[in-house]
Amino acid sequence: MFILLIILIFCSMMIGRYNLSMTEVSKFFLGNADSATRLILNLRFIRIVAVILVGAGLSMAGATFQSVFNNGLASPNILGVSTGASVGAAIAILNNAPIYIIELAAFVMGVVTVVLTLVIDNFLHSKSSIGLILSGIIMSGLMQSILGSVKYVADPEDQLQSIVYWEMGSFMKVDKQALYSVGPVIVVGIIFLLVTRWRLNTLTLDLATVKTIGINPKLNRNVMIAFATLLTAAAVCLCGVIGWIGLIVPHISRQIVGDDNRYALPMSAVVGAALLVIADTIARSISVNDIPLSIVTGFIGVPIFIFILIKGRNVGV
Amino acid sequence: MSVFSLTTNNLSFAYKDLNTIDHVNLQVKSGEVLVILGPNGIGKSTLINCLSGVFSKYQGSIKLDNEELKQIGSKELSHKLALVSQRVNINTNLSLFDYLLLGRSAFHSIFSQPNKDDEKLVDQVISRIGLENLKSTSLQNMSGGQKQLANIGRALVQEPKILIMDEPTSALDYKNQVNVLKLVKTFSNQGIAIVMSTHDPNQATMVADSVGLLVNNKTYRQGSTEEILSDKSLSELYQTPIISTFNEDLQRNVFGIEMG
Repeated sequence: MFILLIILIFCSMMIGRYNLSMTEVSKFFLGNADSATRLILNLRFIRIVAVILVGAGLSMAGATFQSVFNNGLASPNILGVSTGASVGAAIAILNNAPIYIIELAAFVMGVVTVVLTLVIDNFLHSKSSIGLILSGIIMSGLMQSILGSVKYVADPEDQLQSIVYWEMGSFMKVDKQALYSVGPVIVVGIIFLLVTRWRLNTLTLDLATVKTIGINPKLNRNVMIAFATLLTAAAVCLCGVIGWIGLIVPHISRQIVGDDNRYALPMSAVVGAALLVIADTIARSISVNDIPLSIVTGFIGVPIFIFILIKGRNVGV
Repeated sequence: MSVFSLTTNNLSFAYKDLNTIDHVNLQVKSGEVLVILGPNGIGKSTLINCLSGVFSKYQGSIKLDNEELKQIGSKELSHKLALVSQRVNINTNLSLFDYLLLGRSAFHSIFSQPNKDDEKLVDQVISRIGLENLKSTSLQNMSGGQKQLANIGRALVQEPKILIMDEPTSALDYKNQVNVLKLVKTFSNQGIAIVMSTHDPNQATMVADSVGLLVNNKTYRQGSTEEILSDKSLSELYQTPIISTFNEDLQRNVFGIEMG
């Protein structure tokens, strides 16, 4: 799978508005490409690194949410984190804030949305995980309305365009500076979830059992949710909201390596990165202009999810 | 193995709509099986949850040896005490092996992974509960009986000195009930103290060293099986006529209900 990802990265470097040969890409990596090629490939390379980080990050966040809530439908989008984060980003954009404030606002609103989703779920007293999904839909609805209001008052010349760009997801505007400021946050989130991935298995059990196993259920759960939210919010900062990846990639990975998060989480990272590299390559090369990424991930994600459901995989509802 | 004991002194618990318990004084020590009997809704699960540290807002005291349960950190507690909950509908796709491995969680920090010794222990426990052929099977694909055995296995992997079991046989057919009761007997022979709740007095006569009755008026009585289990005490306990006969083949009293 990892080798497949490397091949995909290589292919993705070749494909674009200016298609390049394998030799030219190889020369770039060896450091002796001519300056024009180097310029194109440098941009492409930065973009692909961002795509890999976001793909891996969103998928691991999805896998984490699914484990912690023991619900196969839990994903950054369904829990409202993504919409919440884009509300944060939109408000910051409205105030012409610099990138790090946009990042912070996205994170804070992402966390606020998850917390409110959990509070509503708590009030519903639902024994099944459907309560959580409902709460997520409720919070997403609220965040959509807030986002709508922000868009309504935004300057249509400049701000509105930026906000809409956030909503549909695209790596078009990702440059070195954006990658350097947000990339490390995603790397930290990925590393944290990777080293704590066995604990996620424990958190799939009911709270009383987790407690008697000797693990503080709430503390562990909240730490995991915080890092998954951090990853989601950071991804939203970099490229806006990208649908489906966080939901379907964990399922694909679990089909391949089983449900043990010690294997499923690294696999989610690789599959997520690979799938998003494919989606982004399509998004930037299929037409003259970049098409929003959520359109592509939607067309890829829907049939895959239907296939997973038909195959009878238990998604925990 | 040194002698280890669990004792409660005037243990009471009342919270919201949970069943209450009142002034329970129970004792159990290494190698003993204490079976707690009582009708539905009398507070057996509440008592079990107090004893296992799930409910901590109790009055009175619960002592593990001489240490108050509340004062013991959850990590340290999990090395001494393990709970087998009533739930057999474990909603996990993990394999039996990976599920049992979770019993070692508290032996590691959040950043570490289980090691070879943990895996060896899990293998041993799987053969003790007799599910070697299901080692890699997902729990979702197991029967209720197998899931309950898996629960017991997960608790054993904690290497506890005391095992608390909430109606471990309630969802099981006869064969699986016998499997569980045999395991209970084996564990007590190995020096583990066991507290087990059930509806069925016949299970008490099979495995118990002592029996505790949670009676309707919220009093708790504990004594040896012979002392406590009588037609009268059980008829009062379950508010329905219960008759015992001595069975020559089984060499013990068998309790039956009367339709009236």
